[in-house]
Amino acid sequence: MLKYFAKRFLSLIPKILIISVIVFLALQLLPGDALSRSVPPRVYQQMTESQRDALRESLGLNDPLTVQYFRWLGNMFKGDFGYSQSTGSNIGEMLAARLPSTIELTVIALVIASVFGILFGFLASLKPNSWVDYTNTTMSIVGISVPEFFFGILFILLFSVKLGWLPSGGRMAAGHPGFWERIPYMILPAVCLAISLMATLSRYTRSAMLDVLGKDYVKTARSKGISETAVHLKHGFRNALSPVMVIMVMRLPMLVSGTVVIESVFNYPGMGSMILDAVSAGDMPVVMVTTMVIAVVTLVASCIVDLFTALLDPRIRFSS
Amino acid sequence: MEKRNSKARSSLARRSWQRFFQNKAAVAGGVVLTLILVLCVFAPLFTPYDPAYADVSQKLMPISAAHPLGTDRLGRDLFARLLYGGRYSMFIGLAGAVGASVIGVVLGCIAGWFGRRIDRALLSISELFSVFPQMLLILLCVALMGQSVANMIWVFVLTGWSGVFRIVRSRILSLREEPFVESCVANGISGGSIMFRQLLPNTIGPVIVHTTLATAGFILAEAGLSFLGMGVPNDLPTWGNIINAAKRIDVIVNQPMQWIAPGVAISLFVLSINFLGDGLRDAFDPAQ
Repeated sequence: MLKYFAKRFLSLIPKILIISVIVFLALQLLPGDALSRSVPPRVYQQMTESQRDALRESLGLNDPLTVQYFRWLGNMFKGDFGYSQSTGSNIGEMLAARLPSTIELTVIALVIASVFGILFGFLASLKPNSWVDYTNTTMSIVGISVPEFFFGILFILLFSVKLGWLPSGGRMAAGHPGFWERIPYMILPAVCLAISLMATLSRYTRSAMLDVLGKDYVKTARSKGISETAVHLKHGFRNALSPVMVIMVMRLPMLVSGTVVIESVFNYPGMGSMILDAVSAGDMPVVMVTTMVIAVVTLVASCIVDLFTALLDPRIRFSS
Repeated sequence: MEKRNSKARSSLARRSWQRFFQNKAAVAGGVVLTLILVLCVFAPLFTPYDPAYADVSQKLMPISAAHPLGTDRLGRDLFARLLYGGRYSMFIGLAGAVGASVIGVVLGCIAGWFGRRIDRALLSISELFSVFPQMLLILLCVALMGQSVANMIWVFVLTGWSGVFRIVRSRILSLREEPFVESCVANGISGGSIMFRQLLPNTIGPVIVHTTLATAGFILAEAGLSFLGMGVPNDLPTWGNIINAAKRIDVIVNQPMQWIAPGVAISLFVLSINFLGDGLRDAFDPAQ
């Protein structure tokens, strides 16, 4: 078990390194002075050329690329991500302000999608080809076909404008920074974000359940006289869960992609709007560093979901 | 031998088509898809307006006989924009999906046939692509390359090949062990010929289904990007660009047709592709 965990975590490292090398090389290829990206732009403009040369030497910008790469990597661990070209602010501080709100939104969406997706799929599998099943199948195809921003606009019109139940955008009202005060602001974006993953998960849960319920060990369980509920839950559901979790890990990047669109629909101040502003301003250091950070966070998150699956799956739990 | 083979195949195909036609949702999807395709491809037959022509005296007209869906805030006919916009959206989605599939097939063949180190290298590259949130990769490319129809297609091709790659690779890996390949080798048929004339045709069914569904996915992605203002330049009427105009809350409330019409068009089109694609997969590839 521990060995499995260690192996899974270690497999992250080469992927993260490859992504960081690509981003580092791309940053080197950008036009302009590399020094202007390592100090605040205002300071950079006030310096004379000889001061710049001295600073370049002391920051090690004349060192070989490999040395620079490892220093750059080390700096990021210390929270130094360089400076934005358009606003001049510290990228590390921008990330610290934006990353938690995106993670919050994504986690809530993930919980909604997995709970309801798996529940609907499970209910549909109890009576295949019944009206419950057909409704579920149709709804899930609708869920993956309708663009999430269209759901977003519809929800804003219905729940914020017409019914006035929930705010149409933003993250919190002024002066109410607590988690529970933020919940109303997160419901609509999180639900929109969750819909497509929920649809996918319900389809996969249904087919995985039907697959498992046809297996010999389920027949054995039934012939032992175990109640239907126990067969479905204990023998069916627990075994059907692991292929569903695999799909969830595979779809996690798509969920993260969705946050970019959804944050824009709801004016939610997260990583998505940060990266969009940077793309519009042509601020490449911010675009690249943000992309890298989100990719790494996504990788780590997939790994965590994977480990959860392992905990639930006795075939992995008991293998030495 | 040849004759018997083709006969057996045709009866299998007939049974698959029968299975397909029994699936009402899939047939309905096919009908709606054809309808939208015809409307968009032959757009000039269905609307007399030029989608770019702004008639300032006709701003925000309601639905009427002259303007089936009304006009937008520059006085352009919304129905015409929807039909001509469909052309761009479909073209971008289809071109992106076909291009991505071609790359996926070629790399999948290479990986499946040569195996070993090449396979491992290509597989880890494709894994890296699939763990990367695609939207970010697309935005990165847009930031580097700029916004145009051609760039949009390139971005989809570059970021979307890994699905087909994995399908083709795993098929080729398992087909390679079949006796008929051994007999080809024993008969001195060249590797390239075995690859392209014997193995590739066996992978084509799932690849076609995947390409169809990828077209739907890219149409959604294009709409999302244009909605964000990061897709195709906004003077071109794609479905996403039309809905982009409706981002403001006053438009959402006061001119619902401006966003409902393109939203429904995208949803209906993607929905029909998904129903059709699902039906085709169930009918022709029951093992999946």
